[in-house]
Amino acid sequence: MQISDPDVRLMLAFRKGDDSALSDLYRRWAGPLLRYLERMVHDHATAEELLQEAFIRVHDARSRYSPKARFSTWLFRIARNLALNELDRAHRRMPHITTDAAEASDDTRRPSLTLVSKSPSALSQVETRRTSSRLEAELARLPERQRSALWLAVVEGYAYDEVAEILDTSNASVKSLVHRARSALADRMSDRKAESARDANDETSEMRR
Amino acid sequence: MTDTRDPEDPKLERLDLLLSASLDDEVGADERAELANLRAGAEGETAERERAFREVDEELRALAGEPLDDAQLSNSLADLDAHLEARREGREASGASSDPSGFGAGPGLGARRLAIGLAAAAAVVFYLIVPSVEPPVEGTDSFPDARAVDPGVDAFAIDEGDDPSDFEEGDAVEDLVLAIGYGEENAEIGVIMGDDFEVIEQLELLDYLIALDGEGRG
Repeated sequence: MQISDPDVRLMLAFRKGDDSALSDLYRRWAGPLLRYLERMVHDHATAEELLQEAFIRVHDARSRYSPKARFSTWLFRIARNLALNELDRAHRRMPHITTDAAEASDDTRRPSLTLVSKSPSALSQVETRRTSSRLEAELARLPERQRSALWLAVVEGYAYDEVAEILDTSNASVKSLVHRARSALADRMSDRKAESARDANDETSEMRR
Repeated sequence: MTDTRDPEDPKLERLDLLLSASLDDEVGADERAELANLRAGAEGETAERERAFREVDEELRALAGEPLDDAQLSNSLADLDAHLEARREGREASGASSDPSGFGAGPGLGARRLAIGLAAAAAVVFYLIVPSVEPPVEGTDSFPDARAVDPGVDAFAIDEGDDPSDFEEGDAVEDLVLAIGYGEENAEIGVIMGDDFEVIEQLELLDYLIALDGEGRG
């Protein structure tokens, strides 16, 4: 691992006792980590708690840290494991309730920082949100490993070997996970577009009558 | 397009895989050549699929949006500092304080782990010293609960973030830990196995400690 990596430098500084380095790391990674955790647990408040917990783990593990890999892959791995524990715990707390992730993410009332658009046009903003919430719902329906692999590769821009490190799997497995996730989303979005087009046609026909 | 695609077609499956990997710049030389061949065989379909993939990628990136503004980031960082500070103060007080922030949902997991560990150790000792404990009877509270066995945990192979709060524990156990004066840095107790927790449940030790705690407060 190159020492020129600013995250590694910060982490090593933090290990030596520079507390401000942890704050710098937090400023750099809180955003990406939070949006990833939101996709994992589908709840903003829980994602924020997990974000804090992830950095507390980093704080506690500072003396054991060694720069073998990118700092952020280590951080995302910690965060993912915390999220998996949380999901497992939530599942055990409510064994009688069928968890439908898609349903949960369809709830547009849920406040989500990620849906905030800075588009100038109100109409385009609404359209963007509609598309985003549809995609968000489809994304939530994917199996967790596919969702994570796709998000980390496409949105966070990690190479497959880094995603493999975060998910604790092989490079080939990541390639397959990303492909299946992408294909599934492409198919579902395409189906939805076809449905919307049919609905629009039906409405037009109704109006003509 | 999706109407005519056969998801079971191995050729299309392979094409999807290579297209997907090529979008992420993760194809080797052999795969690039293979993709070129497949493209030549189904140019229109390949182009349409690639466009659909790119659309997915663009919409995903749009979802990422603006994660945190400066004010949110500052507040969030202040929360983290407060958590860490509370823990630091808790340690300096040698565990004599029962500050709830030190044992809340976030930072107190180590202490909870220690509490459960100590309770489990006590239960094991009790179990060994008193071998004549009657076997649990089905249908009673002491019968092992099937929910205690969760195959999903093994499947995840989780190595960070384990949280013992799945188990019922009360203030009594935490008070016991604080009274003994252990710090969170001593929270790793490797000898406690999953089976021990079942023993705790069977012996109803936690209920006993909670009852003691209730009496003490009452």
